[in-house]
Amino acid sequence: MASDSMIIFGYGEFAKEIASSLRYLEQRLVVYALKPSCVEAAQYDGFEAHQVNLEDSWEELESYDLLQTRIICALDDEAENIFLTISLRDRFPQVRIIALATTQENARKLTLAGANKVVAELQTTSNLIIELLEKPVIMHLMQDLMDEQTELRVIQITLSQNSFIIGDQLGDIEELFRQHNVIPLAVVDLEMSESFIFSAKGINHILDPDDVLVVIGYEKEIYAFAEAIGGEI
Amino acid sequence: MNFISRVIVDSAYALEASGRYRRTRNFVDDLLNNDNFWLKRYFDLFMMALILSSVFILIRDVKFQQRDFFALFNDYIISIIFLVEYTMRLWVCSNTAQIITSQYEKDRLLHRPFRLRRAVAKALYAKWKYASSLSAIIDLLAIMPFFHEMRLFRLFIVFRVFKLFRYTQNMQQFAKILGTKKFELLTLFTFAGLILFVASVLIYVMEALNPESPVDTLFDALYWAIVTISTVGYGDVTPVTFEGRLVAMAVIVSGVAVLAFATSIVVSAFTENLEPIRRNKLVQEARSMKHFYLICGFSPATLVVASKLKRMGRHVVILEKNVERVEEARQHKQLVINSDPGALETYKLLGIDIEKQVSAVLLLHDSDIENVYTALTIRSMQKPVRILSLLHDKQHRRKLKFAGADDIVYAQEIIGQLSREYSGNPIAFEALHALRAGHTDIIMDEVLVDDQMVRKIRQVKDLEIRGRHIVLVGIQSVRENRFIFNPSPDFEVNENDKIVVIAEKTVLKEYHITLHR
Repeated sequence: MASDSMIIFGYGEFAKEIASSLRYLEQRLVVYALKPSCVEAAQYDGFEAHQVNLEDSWEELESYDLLQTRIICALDDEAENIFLTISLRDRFPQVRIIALATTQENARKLTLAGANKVVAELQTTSNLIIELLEKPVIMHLMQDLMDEQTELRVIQITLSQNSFIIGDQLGDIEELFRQHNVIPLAVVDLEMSESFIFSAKGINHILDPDDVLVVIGYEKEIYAFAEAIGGEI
Repeated sequence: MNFISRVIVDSAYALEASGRYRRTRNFVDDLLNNDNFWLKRYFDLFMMALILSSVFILIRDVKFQQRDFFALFNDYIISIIFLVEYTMRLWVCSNTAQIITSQYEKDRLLHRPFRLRRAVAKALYAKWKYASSLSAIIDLLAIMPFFHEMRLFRLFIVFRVFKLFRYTQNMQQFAKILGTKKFELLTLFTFAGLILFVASVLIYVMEALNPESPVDTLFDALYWAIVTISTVGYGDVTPVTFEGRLVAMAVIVSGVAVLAFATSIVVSAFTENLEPIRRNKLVQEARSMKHFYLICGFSPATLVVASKLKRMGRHVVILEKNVERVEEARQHKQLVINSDPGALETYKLLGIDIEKQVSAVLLLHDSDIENVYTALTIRSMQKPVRILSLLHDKQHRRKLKFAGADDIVYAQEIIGQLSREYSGNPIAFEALHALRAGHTDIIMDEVLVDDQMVRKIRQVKDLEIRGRHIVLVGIQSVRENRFIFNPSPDFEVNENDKIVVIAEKTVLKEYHITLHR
């Protein structure tokens, strides 16, 4: 089995759009749907699709390398989606689950149910609308960053054991960032917590091995920077 | 055509042609009658102050009669001001010059001799129609205290109080609402009048000849009937005979009915008209806003967008035709007007200047059909306003574009894009979106370089970002018409450039102040 797979539950409007935007990634993409009609539709669109039952014991999923696999729960019915998230989390404590919700309320429930990341539809849409209206420049910047075609990117760099900046404070290496024309956005200290330490505030953060550095910059320059500091992209 | 007609027609034309005359007339008309004219408010307040001071002087006069400045002020100055106002109202109520010229042109068209008498009669009739209206009569009577020598005319001060109606919109609304129940009120008054008539005649017949009874005259009888029917019952006049008491019992019972009837009419008039009153008030509120976002349709997305915009200090007006949704929106304290966003009538009723007041129109209805329809309605007004619309079904995108939506937001697409990012660089994008959504204290924001800032700031280094805990991401340069990522310290900054920064909210606020110092 492929080690790095992507599983999408459901094949509604949202799931369809997710599947098609993930189509050209190198990962193996599998769709699991509840209704036979959805399975057919997914197969018709060219995806590997299977039917599942919510009361399943999920033995089928054990064939995946669950440490590397990401699961997206995008069932149309929110209650079913929450149930699915809970059952998956219960069965596979390690797997990374991304779940879709419409409202903020359901997003909170999904987080409680054990989703690693919840995308709240209403929230995301309204954020976009407001950005369009009030922050058009940021909106454009974001689109550029997301678009794989443009050179400006946001990339995460994992610091390795022997990186020479380990032990430095974030504020100390300002000059290094400037030299390479990259802007540090945030640091995630996976040891402490998964929350972000934004560079605007946490300049006193001391860099540890396995910290993840999130930077914005041109692709080439980021790669050069990563190489210089001994980080892994 | 004789000489007099000639002179009148000529002067009518001269008045019509004079721009100055027209301007003055329009100004007076606005001042007196146009609720949206900014000066009218102050004029109304001034008149109200005059009326109240007039009443105050009257009260003072009861016990301390003196001929000092206040009395003079009351008798002459206020009266003269009212007189001037009355004349102005009479002036603008109809356009005499136009009536005369149109009559003249009509006669000429039909090859008839000009009929001066008819034209004058028409003009006078127009004035008379206004002068005989209730509010005009009250105005006229309010001038009366001018003739202060006649004691009875003092009573007319009361009419000045009635005049207050003119200057307060709430009062006008009250009168209007009661007006909707004209038929019921008329029935009530007829009913009550009939009972009063019968009761007072009966009590008079029964009691007037009885020496023990306090009812002596027909006036006493009427007084008693009114006091009784209103359930006030002072008890100074009471029937003493058996027959009189029978009448009293009947009047008391019917009095309860009359009172209940009257109350129910007023209450039902108000409950039925609550929505229009509310709407009127909200429309007024919307009109007075300088800039606001107009959201058409109330959906879950509306609620989220509206509350976010409000938190950013923007004004939002929502149009929704479904009453239940309007109720829901009100529970969330949104300014929502119950009106169909897809009807041109709505925008006429709103009386807002879409071009100047509305920053953007957001179509956030649950259905694409409604959104397309509303977009077309707004575009049909031919006003250059930005329209942003939600899209629910991919296949309607072109229709929405065709209907005139400038920006189209398709939720499914955004979510799809998001999930792709999560699969590649999950942490990087999560950081980016955390900034974007504003869930943390740290935000990414745009700072506009305005005319005030540009006096001190010429280059990026003048922005003095270093040592402030602010990250400068880039500049949207007007001169180069593109976004410059991580600009060098000597990069030129111009007016209307936008700086994109990441910082804590409070830091950013303070930085903003520093930039404008």
